Amino acid sequence: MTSAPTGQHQTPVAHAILTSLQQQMPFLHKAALESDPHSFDERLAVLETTGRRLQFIFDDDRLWIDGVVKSYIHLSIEFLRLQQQLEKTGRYLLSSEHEAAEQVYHNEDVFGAYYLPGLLLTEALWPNHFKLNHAFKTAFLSQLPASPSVLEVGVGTGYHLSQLLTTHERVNYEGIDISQFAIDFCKTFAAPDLDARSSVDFQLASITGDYRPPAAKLDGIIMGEVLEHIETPGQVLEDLRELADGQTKMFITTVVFAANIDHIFMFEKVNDIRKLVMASGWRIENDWPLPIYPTDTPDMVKRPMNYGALLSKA
Amino acid sequence: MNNLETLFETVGEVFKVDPSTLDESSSQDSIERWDSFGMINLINELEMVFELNFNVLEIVEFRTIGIIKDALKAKGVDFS
Repeated sequence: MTSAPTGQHQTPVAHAILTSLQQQMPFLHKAALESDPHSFDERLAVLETTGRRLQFIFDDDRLWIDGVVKSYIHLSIEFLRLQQQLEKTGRYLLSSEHEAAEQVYHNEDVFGAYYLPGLLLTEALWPNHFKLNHAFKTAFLSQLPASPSVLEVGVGTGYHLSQLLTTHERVNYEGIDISQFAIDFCKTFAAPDLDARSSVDFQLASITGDYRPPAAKLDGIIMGEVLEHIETPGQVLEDLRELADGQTKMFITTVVFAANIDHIFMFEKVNDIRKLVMASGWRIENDWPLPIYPTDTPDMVKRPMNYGALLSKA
Repeated sequence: MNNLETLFETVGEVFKVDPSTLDESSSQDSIERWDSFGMINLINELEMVFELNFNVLEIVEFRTIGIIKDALKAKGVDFS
């Protein structure tokens, strides 16, 4: 049986999470340990930090670790099944924002249940998510001014907001999300990082609908895992460009040919994303195309990949 | 071939294991090829052989052959 490296006394919550994963779904435990072993110790540290925050969120539930791990297993199995379907059919399960909103973002059994806690664990257990978050910190957060004004499109779990608040003071943040479940989760996750000097506001709205653009000049825009969830990603990129000036940095992540229950817009290759971004008036300062299968390369077509990029106005 | 034999046969075929070495306690820990792809292939094969569908909430419990057998039984597959 594969066992975790040493350091249990330093990362007790992470080890408790891994032990639960080993008991509930051994092959996913083995995959978490064996995928990209070079980053394992750093991912373990992220798992400890994230786990402690989840412990804070679920403090009235003695079985929180098993529950959160079950969420991660659910998300992972769902991905594997949908990815196999995608590779057979060439199509995502859903094709419209309306369907995704109804079946996922407003669904208590999905966004109100396993999706967000499971997604949080992927930040440590899926090497590509870990690498993109590393790029978020080193390439994006490090370039923001000391007291930045930031718009986040799709607040997700609050993972980005938490890191923004821990690395900067007097943050002026506005988060837009279509899901009240996501906004509530994000607020709770990031709450311990918020102090009185920062301002954090949320809008329950769709970026393709009637959201109110922030009035303040933006130093940064974060849009993680959004483009694949909307019908008109090029239009959204153009709209966001109107909110930027020459100093604004935008960090985006998305996927190429990687299935999930709420993915609707498909990029078949990395260059599809690059072309769309540039055609929308953005310049790519740096990008990170990351194949999901270790034997794949970023130039391949219709192979699952994660993608991140640091952008500025062209 | 009864349904238990069919179950062992299917598991053995997917994971390239001699079915006679399997029992209900055989698990992800004891079957080396039981990885991500193996798991999804196993589900597909079981759904085809037994002509039924599993949902994710059922699959997340599939750690041993015994647990899979119980899930099949709950769907009406006869193991008497």
